Amino acid sequence: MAEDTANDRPGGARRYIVGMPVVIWMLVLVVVPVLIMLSMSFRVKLGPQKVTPFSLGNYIEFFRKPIYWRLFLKSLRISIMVSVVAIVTSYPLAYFIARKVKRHRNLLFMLIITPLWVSYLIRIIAWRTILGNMGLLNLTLMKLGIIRQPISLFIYNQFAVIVTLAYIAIPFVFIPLYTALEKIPKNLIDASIDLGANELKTILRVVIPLSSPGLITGFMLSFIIALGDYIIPQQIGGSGGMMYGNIVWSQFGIISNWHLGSSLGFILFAVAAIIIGIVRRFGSKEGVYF
Amino acid sequence: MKRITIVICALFAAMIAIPHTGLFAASKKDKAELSILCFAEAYAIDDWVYPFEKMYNCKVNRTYAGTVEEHYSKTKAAPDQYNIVSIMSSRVKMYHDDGLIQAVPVDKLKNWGKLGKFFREGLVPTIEPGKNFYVPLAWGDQDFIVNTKAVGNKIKPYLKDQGNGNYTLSYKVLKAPEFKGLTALFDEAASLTNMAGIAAGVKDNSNLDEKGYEMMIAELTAWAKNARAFTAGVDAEKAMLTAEDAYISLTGNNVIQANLLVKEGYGDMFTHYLPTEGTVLWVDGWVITKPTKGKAYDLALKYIDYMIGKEVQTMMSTIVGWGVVNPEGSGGYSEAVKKRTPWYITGTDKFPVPLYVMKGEEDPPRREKTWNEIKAGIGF
Amino acid sequence: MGGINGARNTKRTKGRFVFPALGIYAGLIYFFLYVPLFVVVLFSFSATKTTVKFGNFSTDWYVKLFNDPNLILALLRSFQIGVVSVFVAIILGTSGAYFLARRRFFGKEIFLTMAQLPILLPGIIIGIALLMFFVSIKVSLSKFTVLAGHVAITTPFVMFQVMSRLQRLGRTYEDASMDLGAKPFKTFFLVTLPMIKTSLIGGGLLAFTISFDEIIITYFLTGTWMTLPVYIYGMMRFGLTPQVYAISAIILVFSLVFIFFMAKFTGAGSDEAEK
Repeated sequence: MAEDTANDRPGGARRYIVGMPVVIWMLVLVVVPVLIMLSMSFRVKLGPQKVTPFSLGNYIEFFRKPIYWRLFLKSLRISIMVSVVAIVTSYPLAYFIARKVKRHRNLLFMLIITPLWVSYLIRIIAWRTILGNMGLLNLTLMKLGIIRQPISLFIYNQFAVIVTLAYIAIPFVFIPLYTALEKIPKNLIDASIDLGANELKTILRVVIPLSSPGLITGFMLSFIIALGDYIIPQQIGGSGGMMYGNIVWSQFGIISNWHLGSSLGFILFAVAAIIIGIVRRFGSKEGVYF
Repeated sequence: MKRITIVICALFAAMIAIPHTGLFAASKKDKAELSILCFAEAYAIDDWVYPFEKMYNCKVNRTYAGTVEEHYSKTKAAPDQYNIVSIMSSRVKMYHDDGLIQAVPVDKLKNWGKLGKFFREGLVPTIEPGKNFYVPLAWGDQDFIVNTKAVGNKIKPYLKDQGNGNYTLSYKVLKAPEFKGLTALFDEAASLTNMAGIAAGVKDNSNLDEKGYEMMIAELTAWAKNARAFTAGVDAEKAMLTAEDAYISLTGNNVIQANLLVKEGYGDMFTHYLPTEGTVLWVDGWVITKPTKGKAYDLALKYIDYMIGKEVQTMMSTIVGWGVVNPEGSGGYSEAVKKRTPWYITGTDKFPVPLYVMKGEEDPPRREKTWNEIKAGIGF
Repeated sequence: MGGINGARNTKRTKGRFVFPALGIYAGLIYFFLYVPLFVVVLFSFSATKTTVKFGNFSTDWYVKLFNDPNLILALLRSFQIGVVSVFVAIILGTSGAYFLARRRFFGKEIFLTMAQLPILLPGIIIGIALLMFFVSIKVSLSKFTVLAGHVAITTPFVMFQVMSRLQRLGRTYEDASMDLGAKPFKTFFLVTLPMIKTSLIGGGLLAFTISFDEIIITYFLTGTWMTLPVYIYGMMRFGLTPQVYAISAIILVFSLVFIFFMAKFTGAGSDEAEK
């Protein structure tokens, strides 16, 4: 690695000063708070102001009560679906802009980021307007003559949740995909074409594998966004819409069991980290890629 | 390129600096400040806050929280940030036991004596003898909003004629298969568990024993499984009703919807019905947080007093629509409320259906957990 | 064009149908991304509060918006926090990236994994964790605690972006510069920095975007100092007033104007030199 010869340089301990700010940040804003939450998660709440000493109780509770693990599996399934949808949707777009467009690439890129500056809450409400019984989607379909009565199947169900979550996730997935695709050296693509592969084959055999760090990061971002979200399921998920994020959030309200809440949060993190670790094994080892 | 960079940097610098100049806050330095935590568009509306600020030459900081839960978690997390918080009468003990609130010297409130007897005495069971921790400011009930034309005659079997041309609607409609996927419930554990208890016929819906829980859970689960969605706000509920994604809504915002729907031209589409078996009455009021003292404390008392006075109570019933706790303020109800939810005018004494005041539940966290479990059990 | 490039061109014509197809697809995606935004703009001009049917055309909400300092103040606060967070994140992230890419030390893998924690943990956990931390060291909630929260989650984005760039660049230029006698500090500012400029901008942009629309962590770490998303969130119960749509429409228009403006002045396309 490039830095291997670094320590040959004179300077000694002074060379490590550059790392101090980030180490302080890490300790103060990441390590300590996370340790606090972690230690909370290992204490079970017995009553107001009463907790047990170190105990796995909260984690056992997760496996014991279907409300937790069943809801988690449901959210896991939905999050994976959302991520797949987001990646499949964004990839051709990222490919197009990164490799096919010659001018105005920065502008096109920024146009995808811009929706993120309009509040997430407002965008969700807009989707409720679009998907509803009298919404844009139904009105358009009726005007086009495709349907005669409005279809109420677009909203207050998992379809609406997946569409809206994917909508929120797409710009976040696009960024690492675009970054990864942009970096693929042109000569590799040309070599593939010279060797006889058509464009599709090149994409499948050369481009996608080379862009895998971006795919992994994109998947990771989308997955985390979907898994922890509680606002979208609540607003347009319908009666069967409850997701894991809602139950985690609920622990910090009147139930007031921050201990259980932390453990639920860490379980989410642990599973996410494991899944991402597994997915990363199949890709390049380049690491996190924005 | 360099010029643009300078322009942009200047813009950003301006954006950072502007809030710190006096442009948006007129001379805030020597002003006393009052910090309120409550629902938006409900208890701290410009119409009476601005005159208050002028009257006492102070600044009122308003923080809005969306749910009862968030009021609690925000207060618990940082009680020093807020001076007064609007909470339900049934939660006073919970806040008190968590050490979040201090006693209110009601003898210092000029308008205390003007509160209806029902609100002054016995609403909150004594927590500490001789001390008052709560000042009521508004009340409301839960009822049904029905899309008259859409339900047509299908709803007839569930209506009961009160005799004077008024009808009430039974909770059974929420379980009815002919309305599957056409109902919406107000997403709040406290209200729903109480109402389901009433519908199931438990002895005391504020104090459920194990058998009571069983009955309540069976009832509420049936409602939840039959519902299209659970609404958590006026906007969400209004969208569902007006878009006809649901025909019947069990609502916690009846007067607000009554006013809003009329204002937007949907008034004639909907009818409000009280639940035949009875409904819950909630009371919202102010508590003073423990860390409040000095100038903020004085302002807190003044604001609380101001809100239960005739002027603001009238304004509140006109603009928002909630029930007044001071009878002097009952002259303000809008035509919409008078026509559609007339029981707000006649008041709590002469309620057309059994009225169950929401006193503290036997175990609020358990109610919350129960509702979570019911919701989680629907669908996969 | 003849010669070698000519030969390439004929091969590339085989895949030419792909370009318009992809182009149409891209157009559809842009449409999909912007339809909800157009809905927002549309309803900001609707006289009634409903989002189900468009009422009469009215600019009332814009007038009301300008008479209501609270929403505008919230927006300015969001900007404030966004810009300052980005600034801090860039300093922390760049120094951290340099540290990770150019220095050897024990526990680097662990450090890297932990640095991803703010991204991998759900917002509510980070928010509560920081809240409890501040409560335990008796720091009262204010814009500074909010800043700390935003810096916590934005720094990794900047750091990883700059780090991968530094890794790809290699030490050659820096070594050459120092061999020629420049001190490390000078080398950094005159040699390294220009080369990582785009990743700084990219990382900073991502950091600002995340900070600007951040709800949960901000919600927990603030008392009365509300940013725009938190303010809107608190209004969801009893009614979003359409002023919120108006301010969102304004943000959208300003953003679009801003990026078109920037595109015009910084030239089209990407940096060829970076390859």
